[in-house]
Parts: sequence; C-alpha cells; structure tokens
Amino acid sequence: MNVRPSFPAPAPPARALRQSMAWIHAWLGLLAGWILFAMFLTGTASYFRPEITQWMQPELRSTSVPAEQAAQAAIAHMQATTPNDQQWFIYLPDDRTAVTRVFARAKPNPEKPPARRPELKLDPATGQSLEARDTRGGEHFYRFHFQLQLPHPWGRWLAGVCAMFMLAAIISGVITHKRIFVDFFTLRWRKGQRSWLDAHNASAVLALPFHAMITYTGLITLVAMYMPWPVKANFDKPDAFTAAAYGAPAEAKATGTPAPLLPVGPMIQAAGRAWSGDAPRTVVIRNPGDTASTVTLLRATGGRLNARPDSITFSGATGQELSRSPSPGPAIATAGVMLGLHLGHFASPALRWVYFLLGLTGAAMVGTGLVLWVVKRRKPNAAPFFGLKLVERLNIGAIACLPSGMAAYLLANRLIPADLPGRAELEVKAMFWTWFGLAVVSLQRPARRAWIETLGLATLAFAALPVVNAATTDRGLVASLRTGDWLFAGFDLAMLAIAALCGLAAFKASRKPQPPSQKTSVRAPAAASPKPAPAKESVDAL
Amino acid sequence: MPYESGLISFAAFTCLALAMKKHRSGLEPLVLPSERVLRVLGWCLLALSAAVAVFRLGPALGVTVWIGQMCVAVALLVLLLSWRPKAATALAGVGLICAPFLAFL
Repeated sequence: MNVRPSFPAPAPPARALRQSMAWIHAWLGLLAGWILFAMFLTGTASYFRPEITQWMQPELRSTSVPAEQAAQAAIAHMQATTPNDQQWFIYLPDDRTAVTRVFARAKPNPEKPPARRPELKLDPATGQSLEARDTRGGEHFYRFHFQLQLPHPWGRWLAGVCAMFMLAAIISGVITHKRIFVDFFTLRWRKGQRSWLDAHNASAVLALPFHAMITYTGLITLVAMYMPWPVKANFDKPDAFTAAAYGAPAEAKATGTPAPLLPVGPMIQAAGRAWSGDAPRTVVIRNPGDTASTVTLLRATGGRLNARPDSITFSGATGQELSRSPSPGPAIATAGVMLGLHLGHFASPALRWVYFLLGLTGAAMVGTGLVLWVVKRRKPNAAPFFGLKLVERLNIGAIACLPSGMAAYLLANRLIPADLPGRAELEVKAMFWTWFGLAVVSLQRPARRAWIETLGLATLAFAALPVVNAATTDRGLVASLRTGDWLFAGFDLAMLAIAALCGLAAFKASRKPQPPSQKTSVRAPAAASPKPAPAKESVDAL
Repeated sequence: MPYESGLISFAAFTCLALAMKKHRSGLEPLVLPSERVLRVLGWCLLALSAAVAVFRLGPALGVTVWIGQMCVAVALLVLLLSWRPKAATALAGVGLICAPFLAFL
C-alpha cells in the first residue's frame, strides 16, 4: 500500500476478517453451546459405555470364556426355548462385557405381527438365562449424546446442527485467535475475563486435533442422514446402497425342510483363520433348524481403527462358507476409520483414558466459552440486561446442573428397587428431573450463589455414589479393592475424582471475585467499540 | 503401559515452553539452557515421542495414540505450569527418565 489511509482508517482486511470471525464464533458458540456441553459430557462418559452398564448391573459378574463356548451355549439356550424363530442375534461377551446378549426375532406372522421381544442376558459359560435389574446402563448416555432424548429424527437433526455450528466455531475460532503460538502455554489465574479467555484458549488449542476430529467424525457418522441425496440419486432403495457398499450376506428363504444346525465352533475357527486370529463379536443365525439356515459371523473390531466389521456367512446345515464381506475400498475404509476414531472402540484401556480426558477438555472448552460470553459482556456497576441474565441462567442450568443429573441417574440405579417394574425408565427420569428441576430451583438464588450451590450439590451427589454403592451392594470400594475387582474399584475412584473436580469448581466459584484492576478491566467487545482497538487488545475480545 | 510417548511429549513441550521468555521466570535457582538449545531439544523430543509411538504400534494406531497423548500431555503441562512451574519442570525430567522403563514394561 503506497497510499496512506486517512483517519479514521477502515479496519485492515486481516482485522476485519478476525472481527467478523469473532462475531460468528461468539454467536454460533452461544447458540449451540448448551447442547454441545451436554453432548460432550455424556459422549465422554460413553467411552466407558460397557463399564457403566456393568456397574449398573452389580448382580452380574464377568466370566471369561472362549467365543466358541459362549456362542454354542447361547445357541443351545435358544434351541431349547424358541427354536422356530426367524433370526437370532447373539452378541458375544468380550473383556468389557460380562454377559452374552441375545436378541431374537420371531417368524413374520401375517395375522398377528409378533411383539418385539426383550433382549435376553445369558451366562456366557452355561447359556442359562440371567436375571439382573432392568437398566439402560451406559447405553443411555451414549444414545442421549446424539439423540438428545427427542423423538426420531429430531434429536439426531438437532445434534447434527449443533455439530455443524461447532465445526464452524472451531474454524472461526482458529482464525480469530491471533496469538495461537505466543499464548500457547499461557494460563493465568484470578484475573477475571483474562483468565476465562486463557482457559477457553488453552482447552481449545491444546486439544484442537481431538476437537476437530471428534466434531467432524461425529458429523460424518450420520452424514447419510444429513445429506441423503447422493445415495437417493444413485440407488433405488437404501438397502441397495448398503449392499453395494458393504456387501450383502448370502440369504435364502426358508425351505421348510428341517435340518439340524451344525456346531458353530468350527465356523468360528475358520473365521479366526481368515481374520488373523480375531474372534467374532456377533453371531447372526437366520432360519435356524432349516436346510437354508445361515450363520453370519461379524469380526470384533477391538485393536483396529476401522469400526466396520468384516463378516463371513456359513451355511448352517452344511458348514460351507457361502459369502464374505468384500474387502473395503478406499471410501468405505475411510468412513469406517472415521467411525472408529469417533467411537474409540479400538482403544486399549490406557488410550481410553486419554480419550476420556480429551473429552473433558472438550466440555471445558464449551463451558469456558459460555461463561466467557457472559463475563465479557457484564459491566461493572450496571444492572445486567435481560439477555445477559438469560444466558447466565442457561449456563448454570447446562453446565452446573447436568453433572448432578448424571449422578442422579447412577444413584437411582442403586436406590430404585431392583425388581420394580419400569425401573429403567425411572432411572432416566431421575436424570432429567434432577437436571432440569435443579436448573429451575436455582433460579430462586442469586446467580453467584446458584453456581456455588449447584456445583456443591454435584460434589455431594458424586461423593455419595461410592457410599450408596457400598451400602446397597456387596461390591463396595473396600471389597472390590480387596478382591481385585478393578472395574468397580475404578468406577468408585473415578466418581470420587469427579466429586473432587466439582468441589474444586464450587470452591473456586465461592472465592470473592477480583476487583477488576486497570490492566484487566472488562471491556466492551471490539466489534461494538466505535474506534478500532489497539491490535493487541482486539484479540482479547474473543 | 503404553504411556511413554505421552511422557516424552510432556518433556518436549516443557522444553518448548521454557524456550519462551515469559515462561522462564519463577524458576530462579534452576539454571536453564539457552532458549535456542531448549527449542531444538523440544522439537527433537517431540519427534522422538512420535517415533516411539509409531515404532510401538505401527503407523495408523501409532499416530493416533501419539496425537492423543500429546494433547493430554500438553494440557496437563499448561495446568501445572500455571500453578507450580517448578513441579512441572521436575515432572518433565522424571517422566523422561521413566519413559524408557515404561517402554519395556
């Protein structure tokens, strides 16, 4: 530029871009923030989905048996109880699940459609039916994190819109953040707005690869729902697309001629040879006891990034291999790896904790961003305007009340009688009544007190979990440490750690806020200030 | 326990942080190498942590594990650095010494 700009200068393009990005970032983040916080927190809990389920059914103890034995025991049970079903789905136990689960579908009956039957839980070693308290377990947090407890398809759509906002907020946030490397290691405490900005930047930048990955792969997982048109344009039916992409297992209509189902042990061994020793995760049997019966084995995905399982189908009557899933092309493999990265099923226990901590930084990023929105706009010595009060109350409801709700879900599991009908729904209700009820009750208190008290309540609720667990089951912390039951011991210790975190947050909130000094005074957003702020401070507006 | 990659990247980021002027205060009795040495050492250690993860787990899983552990390591470092900078520096050293033993565990 050789022409000297006259005053007042229009913002240079770079700063104009940053300011517009800051504006987008602030508003996208705010609108989606409350739901995103809940998605992050429940999604993070879902990395321990099978473990939470195991904790919520303390009657069941895991026994480890080979896949062949578990599959054969389950088949024997089904042949003895409902031999004429159309299909049996047998989910084999692994090192994270204690029981064999079976879902059976009866033959279609044109006169009376068969009722949907509940899932069976079987002892992996003997195939005997197991009784345990009815619960959604970890599945509830997992489902909530992308369906938001709303009727289909609205929950998935809302979650998708929030994820798209999140992706846009990540990109606009990176563009706005000018001092990404200069402030890379910077975190200053007790400096009001400055500290919230530091915490937001640190939690976002330091785990940026995870945030970008988890948001993008989450969207891609449901992309066929959000963008169905490419599939619609090229395939008549969704099934045709599925078959073209993933292969269709060989299926034949039942002939009606009975034929005994061969033992699945040799089929599992044959599959193991094809899968470099991997065991199957799921056994699907169609038309058992018919000459046209098929046994489809789905490969366990543990240890591999690709979450799409390979499959091999055998004839149940002759034991011959009928078909196997095609080796995936680059596109399907990419989609499978993206799904795998999101779910983290491949992660060993060590890496699972890494995922868990990274998920918490995601929740911290959203939470600090929401608080920052309020802190930045709050003016000293001025009554807060309606929007500010609204956002602050929603922040309290979303950030400080949800942990209590999640703790209430787990507490309800121990406190609701194990044989009460409909108890699984009651547990879910306990979570939402506690969460939203607490948010409504907290309206009665001044905002600062509401933060302290709701966080304090979350501390008590999580700290109560090991106590209630020890009082209602024989698998308390002392007993589980003594018997080396690391799942239960780890769960109780994790609850105590979460209680400590909530307690620390409540303690920090109860500290008298620092009087804003000259240096760290709360300033109006740069976009709204009439004259361009000095370059260094304009970044602070984010 | 496959955490050696994370421990090495913790030390790597400690070096990179101490190579910046504003993070060098508050460590007075400690004699720090020059900023340049720390910066080179930090990047070398970061490369080493990647190499260790890839060598141990193969390229696909190794890179995933490396990035994940690196993110957690640097987040913990920043928390600790803001609270007890000396402890963070000491922990980086201890972690670096422990890493080879963890690798063989």
